[in-house]
Amino acid sequence: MITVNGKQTDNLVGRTIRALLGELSLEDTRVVVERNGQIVARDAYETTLLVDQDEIEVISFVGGG
Amino acid sequence: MTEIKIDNVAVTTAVAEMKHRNVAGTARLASAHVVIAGAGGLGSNIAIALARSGVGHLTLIDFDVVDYTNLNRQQYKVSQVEMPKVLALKQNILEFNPFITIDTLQTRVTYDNVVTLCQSADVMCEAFDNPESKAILLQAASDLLPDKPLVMGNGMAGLHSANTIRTKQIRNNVYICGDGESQGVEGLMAPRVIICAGHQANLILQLLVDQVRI
Repeated sequence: MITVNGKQTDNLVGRTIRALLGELSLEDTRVVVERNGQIVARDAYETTLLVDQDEIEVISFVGGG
Repeated sequence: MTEIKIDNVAVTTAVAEMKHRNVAGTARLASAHVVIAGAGGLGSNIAIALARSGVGHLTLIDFDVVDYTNLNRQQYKVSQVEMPKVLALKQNILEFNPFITIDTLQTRVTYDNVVTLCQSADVMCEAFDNPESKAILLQAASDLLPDKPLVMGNGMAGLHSANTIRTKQIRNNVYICGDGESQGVEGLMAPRVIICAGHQANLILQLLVDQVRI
């Protein structure tokens, strides 16, 4: 089980951060991803595999200011 | 000693009254330093609010110049079109608070220059227009300046309810104001931009006087 922004999901174990962002229809360049309280470097999205019990926070930005 | 008067008011009285603040305990703002990254709709309004509140030192950062299309929400004038935004904003601010120090940097904020630009600030304020820049600043600040408070804006476009714009603390030192979803492409209107800027400025003042109440 993985928690993404407070919601539990079980179909992402073993997949990458990049795959998670794809599921959420989010672009890499507009988000910051925290995994278990640590910011994930953008160049590690492709190689970071989600494991059981991971807590993920995706902070997503929109334009305008 | 000869008393100097402006419109029949003694200069010393005028200065004292211009320095007057309404809220007790805010004297320490005079020694505070805030870096504002972006001088558009958010940044220009935030800078003005902080200057009027008596924050003593601002650093304004923006690469852009004033354009006619900015005048619907940004605190500039027709006479300032084509001026660098940071210089136009400094000029405007000093007309109503001449007692503060304003540094201006006409440059882009990147991952690599965030530390140089922001390390001397008490609080960093993100006021960009584009979401990629917002994400890069959060990434850089989290990696490189994790102990410095960062106040961000996210989602303030359109004519939606004013009440959906909120201040949230997402981490120990990171705060995001906005509705989180109304995108710039739907058009930016002065009121919600000003509301979001007000949230950011209010939180920055609270941080500077250690009275954060979200």
